[in-house]
Amino acid sequence: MSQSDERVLFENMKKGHIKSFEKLFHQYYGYLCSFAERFTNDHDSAEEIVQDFFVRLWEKRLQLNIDSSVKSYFFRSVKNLCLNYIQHQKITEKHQINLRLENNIKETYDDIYIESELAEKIKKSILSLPEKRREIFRLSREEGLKYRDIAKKLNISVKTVETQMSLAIKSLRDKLKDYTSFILFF
Amino acid sequence: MKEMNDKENFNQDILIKYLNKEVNSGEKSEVENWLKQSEKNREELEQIRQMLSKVDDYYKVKSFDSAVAWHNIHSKITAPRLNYLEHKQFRKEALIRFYKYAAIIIVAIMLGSVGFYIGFRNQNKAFYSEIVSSEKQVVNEYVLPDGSKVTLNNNSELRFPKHFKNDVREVIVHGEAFFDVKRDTSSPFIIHAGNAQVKVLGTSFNVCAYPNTETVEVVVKTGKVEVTNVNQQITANKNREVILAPGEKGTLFNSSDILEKTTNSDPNFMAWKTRDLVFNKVPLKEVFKSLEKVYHVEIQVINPEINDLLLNAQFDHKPVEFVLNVIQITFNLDLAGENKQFTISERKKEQAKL
Repeated sequence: MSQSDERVLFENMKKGHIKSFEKLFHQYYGYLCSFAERFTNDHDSAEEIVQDFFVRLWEKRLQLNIDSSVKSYFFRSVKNLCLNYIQHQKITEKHQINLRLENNIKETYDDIYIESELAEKIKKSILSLPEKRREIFRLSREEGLKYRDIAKKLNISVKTVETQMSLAIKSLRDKLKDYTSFILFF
Repeated sequence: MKEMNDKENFNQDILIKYLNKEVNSGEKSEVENWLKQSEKNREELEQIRQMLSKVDDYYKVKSFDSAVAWHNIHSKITAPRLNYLEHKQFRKEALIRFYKYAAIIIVAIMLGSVGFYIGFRNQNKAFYSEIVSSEKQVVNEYVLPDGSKVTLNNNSELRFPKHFKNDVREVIVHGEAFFDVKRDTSSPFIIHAGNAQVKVLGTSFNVCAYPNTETVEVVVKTGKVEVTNVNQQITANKNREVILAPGEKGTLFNSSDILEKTTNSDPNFMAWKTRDLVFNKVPLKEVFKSLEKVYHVEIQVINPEINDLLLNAQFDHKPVEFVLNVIQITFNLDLAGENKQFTISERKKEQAKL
């Protein structure tokens, strides 16, 4: 979705067109949540914050005027909500960690690319892996399991996990070749 | 030559182990030495690392389910509209509690729970009960206080008073529902569905009124139903109401305010409830549309010529995988997919030989 497409959706949303609002929502929800999670370190509160943001966005849509792109407005707002959330956290220790974190990811939303095309391509490439390989790959990347734990879980040898991971990554690399050079430019 | 290839592959295997932090100390220094050898090698590692980080981002983003979240958001931003049936009783606290419940429903649904019934039993001020169906489950044959039965399709909500009034039974539906209304001539049953109002004495019919869709559709199975357009700005040449008999369909187009009566041509209009599907020389394009609606799946067709193939088949209460397998075998296609996402493509020649 291009910036001007988003702008149109945003303007339609302001006029009360709920479908445009929904489109923007689906486009951004996952990205904003994973962005928020970097502040909160917690999946559920990240979702809560982002959902809250969208509810407020809808309620305040008439008063809204943004000068920046929709994307940076969204990320900036969510970031502020996250900082508020952190401030309300009473545990000092947690607070400290998060403040440090805050400095590290300042303004990083400028580097976040909403690459729906790439995401689509990744999804297809993963789906094209044979079922077992896909599951091994998923356990490693999505759940972050060690090879040893994957082997135990699936009742296979560590060597098999190694081989399958290797094959999976090779195949993904091959399929995403056109995109990987693209990625490197970021 | 072969040896060289093997060597490269060998390196790659270890590289991948290295990236996944699965190397032992010997392998670790092997990789580090290899990295020292050339810029090209370091670039190679960096490329794989970048790719994996994109894949990780993808998994991360995917772990936040925007469909479930949308349901939650949607109920929040549209909830105040309920007021119109009984403003006095619907206090703000009750609304806030409703939000809370909405969140709980969704969590429970993510745990794979079946349909949900929420009654505000302990809240003397709140007047309404509601049933909500999830992304993946229909609520089957829920019995309302008057004995009428309702089945809710996925992502739908039905709101009704805990006690119906004596002279009228009013409910609100968002989404799709099948009603089997208990006959009571002294108390008509009225359904508010978007801009449409559906009034019956005792009958069974299907109402489809998902928010954000262009139309409200009512299909009658038995009995007689009156559909009224409640929108005020109506000109003389447009129907304000239509009376539907069995087999007829009323459609209200929200954008144009047109309310029309047609014969229902879709034999599968109830399939989301019955899971019985009939296809009589239907192009696959239409078949997939029906399957997407009935099973709430996404079907992607890679080669557009597949869309025109005609299907003759009947399925009684079969899972979607079964239906897709039959289609795959019938037309010799390739089928891939998991969960609720499927991809259908033409079978490649070399694969067909195997």
